[in-house]
Formats: sequence, structure tokens, C-alpha cells
Amino acid sequence: MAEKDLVSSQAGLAAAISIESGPGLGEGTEPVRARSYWEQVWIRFRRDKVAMASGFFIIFLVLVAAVGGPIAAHFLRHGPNDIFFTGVNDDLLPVGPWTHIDDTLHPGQQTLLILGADGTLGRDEFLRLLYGARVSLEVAVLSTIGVMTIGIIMGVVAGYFRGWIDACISRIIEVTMAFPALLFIIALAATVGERLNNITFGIFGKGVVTLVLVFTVFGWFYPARIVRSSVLSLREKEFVEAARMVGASDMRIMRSHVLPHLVAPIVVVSTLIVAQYILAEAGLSFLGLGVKLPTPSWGVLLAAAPDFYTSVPWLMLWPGLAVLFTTLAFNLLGDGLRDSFDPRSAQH
Amino acid sequence: MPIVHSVFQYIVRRILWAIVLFLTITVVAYVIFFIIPADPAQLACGQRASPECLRNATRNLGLDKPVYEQYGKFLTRLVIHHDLGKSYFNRQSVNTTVLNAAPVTASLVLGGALLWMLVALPIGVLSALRPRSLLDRTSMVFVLIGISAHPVWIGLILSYVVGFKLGWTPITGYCDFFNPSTGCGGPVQWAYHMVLPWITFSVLFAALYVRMIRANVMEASSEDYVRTARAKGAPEHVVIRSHILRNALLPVVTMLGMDIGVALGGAIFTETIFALPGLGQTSLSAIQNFDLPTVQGVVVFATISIIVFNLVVDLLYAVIDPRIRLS
Repeated sequence: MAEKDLVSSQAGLAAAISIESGPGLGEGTEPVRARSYWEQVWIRFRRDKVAMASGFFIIFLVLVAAVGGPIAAHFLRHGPNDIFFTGVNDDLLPVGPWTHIDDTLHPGQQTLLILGADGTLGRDEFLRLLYGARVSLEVAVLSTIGVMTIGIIMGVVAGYFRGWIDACISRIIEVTMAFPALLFIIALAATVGERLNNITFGIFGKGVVTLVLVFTVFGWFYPARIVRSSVLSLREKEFVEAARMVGASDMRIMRSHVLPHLVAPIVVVSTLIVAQYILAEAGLSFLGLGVKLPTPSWGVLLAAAPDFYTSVPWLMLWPGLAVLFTTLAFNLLGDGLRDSFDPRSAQH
Repeated sequence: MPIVHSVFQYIVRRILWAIVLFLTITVVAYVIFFIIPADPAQLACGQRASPECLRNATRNLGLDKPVYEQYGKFLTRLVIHHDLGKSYFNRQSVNTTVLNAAPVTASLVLGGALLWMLVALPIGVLSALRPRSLLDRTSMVFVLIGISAHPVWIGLILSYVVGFKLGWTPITGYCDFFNPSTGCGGPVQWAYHMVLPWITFSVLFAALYVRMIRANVMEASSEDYVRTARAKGAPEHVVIRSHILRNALLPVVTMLGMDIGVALGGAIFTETIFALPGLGQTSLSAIQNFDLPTVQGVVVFATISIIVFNLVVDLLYAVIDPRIRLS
């Protein structure tokens, strides 16, 4: 019996009760349909306005990151890495927002710098912000995928097989947790990163792959612990015992019986981890060890800001706000999803 | 006495594990640095290095020996002579470098920890005791913003608004507590220069701890023993102090120990923004200069502090919570 039907039959009982205590017997001609697990999750999620707003913001952000940059670049007729010496005023300071400057790429015409220039090289801050969204999101999402993949595999294997496998993996997790992570991430990024920075697969910016690898190496233990503790309790449940009695192999039990129950915590933890890695990428790029110039990312933009903070302080405002709103949206989404997956949250 | 025996066993096991951790972490640090493309002898000799200089430097720095031999030498020197070696970059004793930078980081971290606990404890406890009140909702908003804003950004904004625009505090620099140097010194100047770094460092942790304390206190408030205590007529402040808080704050002690231990490895971002010459800055420049001994020195210090704090917290936990002792 599929899990979906099992849940539906429980909902069927509730449906029967609501018919008996409803507006009147025989009234309401449409048949009462049992709601599936995902439908209930969606209904609870829809009720949470803040989570919905965060979801919309993230969808909007993804669209901006994917196509917004190229569209804006097309309309403004220059790219995020194009240098304009006209973007720097006589005091060698970058020009402010909404400035028209002489376009050196198309002589005789003017172009608009919507948020001004990004520094002494006179690049377009607005376009760099848009393209930076793509890079920052790439790093965060790819790191999350890597971390969750390894974490889930290790967690499920450790929790399901227990014994010496669990002891082994738990020791590895403890050792990874004891590392002064930031120090080692910086060390790895600075040393091994030199070689990895040029791997771009043609689509990523320079330094993206390095960051993703480095974050994955030191971050997988977090979901692994959560998954492991969930699996430890799940494997004692009756349906696992029943599946084993029927003769299902370990792989099949892990894949088809245990994993579906892990979807809720996995989804919630993933959104929270994405938020964390957006902050981490910004921090490392700020130190100069993450994404490499001239590829823009929000951390790279933030790194350029301190040079001008006495004179052009809004340079530190834009990337900071972008990071803040994106991280806030992912955190709120994660909290909202956690409440949606928890059937008891409807009581509050 | 069985209890003493089991506590002794527990301590011995923890210490053995601590040694394993220490060895693993220092080995990994060594391994990372042997993958680097740069050659320290080259760096030590400079741009136009003669083959003679390179040969001498390689021999002096011990680079011609195999990796495991270098590591063995490092380990024996550390354990027996308590010497972290000399920097590849400027031939300074790493012991001196680390011991100069450590107090700066320690003042930042310990001061910051005090600040965040002073803020997080009352707000977390009060929010949990009055759920859904205005205080609770407001503090949750601040928690969200606190965990979503980057410490770098907070530091930049604070130093711009408070330091530059309003001129209330200095923007960068560190003043020694004990030895006044040319610019400034003494406790007052020290605290004055540390105010913004403390605030920047503690925002994120304060937010995390408010959330954790609130969740723990709410969970403890719904336990049966609290209901029983109230039913037996205990005054509310006794219920809160002896029953709720005592149980809710136990995990906070563990987290606090871990976080302080980890942060002592270098609050890198805060130190960079406020130009504090602590372990974070030291390790950053050492890494960029491929200066292995200094990096190893900071790693050793950070690892030891993490291990020591975890050990202390575990022992404290065993002392405070009888269930751990008797299990």
C-alpha cells in the first residue's frame, strides 16, 4: 500500500466526521475528497503570508539572476565588467546613482549608470549587483546540493546500519565538527583554490567551483547529523520491520520507505543552509578568497566598499541590503516550511 | 567508589579523544600546505634568488626532508619544547606572534560573549515566558535580522554611522590593556576601542542564543514537573528559577563553551574590519604568504582552545546534571 493511500484513509475518517457534523445531511452535492499529504502541506503553507511572500521574493530573485542581468545589459548596452573611465569624477571617486556618462564603448553616445560606478574602474554597480546575484545564488545553491547529497548519504547509512559503520561515520562527523572551520576554509581556498579557480565548466564564474568544493568538504556534517538521528528513530518503526519481513533489500528499504519520511526535514534544512552559504560566500569574497575579480558577486562588491566609505558610503549599502533580504527570505521560507510540514502547527 | 571511577573513565576517554582530534587537525593543516604550488624557500630568498640561497634555505627550513619527517619534527618540538617554530616569512618566533595576537582575540571574544549573554538571556527568557506578546514578536524580528545580516556589513555600517558620522567611537585600531604604547593604552582606551567590535561580533550570536534560549524555556515550561510545582503551590519566581531555568539553560552552557572555543580561533571578519591585530588577521596574512609555521601555530592554538573548552563544558555538564554522572 503506498504511503499516500495510508494518509488518505486517515483523512477519510476526518472527512466522514465532518460530513456527520457538517451543515446538514444531504446538503452539498460534491463528494468530500480526502486530501493527500502534499496537499495538506500546501494548504498550511498558503495560510502563512510571510512564507508565501518570501517564496515569491525568491522566485523573483531567481528570475532576476537568470535573465534580469542579460536583459538589463542589453538595454543599457554595456556589461558588468566593462570599465568606464568616465564613471570616475575629477576627484577619482566613483559617480553616484543615476548618472549619465559618456559611453566609451559607443563613442558619441551616453549611457546610464543606475546605481553609479563601483570604484575607481568605473564599472556599472547596478549590473554588477544583478550579475552578482547569479554568482552568489550559484555558490549557495550548488554548495547546498553538495552538502545535502553527502550529508544524506552518510546520515542514512550511519543511522540505518548502525554498529561499526555508524561508529565510524559518527567519529568522522565529530572530527569534522572540531575543525576550526573558517580557518581551514580560508586555507583551502587560498592554497588549493589557486589551482581550482580556473575550472569554470564554461558557465560559472572564476572561483565558484573552489568555493562550492571547500564549503562541501567542511559542511556536510550538519545535515548528516540531523538525517542520522531521524533515521535512527525511523528504522525502529513497524513498516520497516514489515518491509524486511517481506524480503525487501536494505537499499530498497532505505530508498522507498525511510527516505520519503526524511523529505520534510531535508527541505527545511536545505533552505536554511542556502541562507547560511549566501552569508559565507559574501564573507569569503570580502576577504578576497572567494569569487575572483572581475567576476562580480555580492561579497566582491562588499569588499570594494570600505575603500570609499568616507566618501561614497552607499557602495556598501546595495550589496549589504541584497544579502540581507535574500538571506531573510530564505530563513523565513525555511521557518514557514517547517511549520507547514508540522501538522500540529495548525493548532497555534 | 563507583561514581568517581566512572567519572575518571569519562575524563580519560575524553582526553584520549582530544589527543586524536589534535593529531588529525594538525596533520590535515600540514597536508593542505604541501599541496600549495609555492615554494617557501623561494619566498624566503626573494625575487632574484641564487641557487646557492635556495639550497641553503631549503636545508635550513627543513624542506628537503620528506613530509612525515617534517611533521614528526614539528610534533616533537611542540610537545617537548613547547616551541611552534619560526615563521618562513620573517623568521620570527611563532610563539611570540601567537602570544601577542591571542590576547587581542581573547578580549574580543570574551567581551563579546559577555555582551551577547547579557542581551540574550533576559530577552530569551522573557520572550518565552510571555509568548506572542509585543516583546516576543519584536525580539523574533530582531533575531531574524540578526541571523540574516552579515557581520561584515553590520561592522561597516556601525563603524560608518557611529564612528565616522557621529564620531562617538574610534573606527579602527586596538589599544593594549596593560602596556600603554605610543598611541593609547590602559583599560579605558582599550574598552573604548573595543565597543564597536564587541557589538559587531555579538549581534549574530545574540540572535542565535535568543532563539535557542526561547525555544528551550518554552519547552521546559510545558514539562510535567513545572505543572506539578505550580499545582503544589510554589510561587512563580521559584518555579521559574529552580525548575524552568535550571533545566532550560543546561544546553546553553554546552553551546556557549563550543562557540567561545571556536571563536578563539580567530574572529576573522570583525578583526579585519576594525583592524585588530588578533589571531584572525595573523592567520589571514600567514595564509596569503604561504607561511606554514605561523598558520600551524594559529591552528594549534585554535584546536587546543576548542578542545579545552569542550572538555571544560563536558565536565561542567557532568557536575551540574546528575543524570550524566550516573548514566
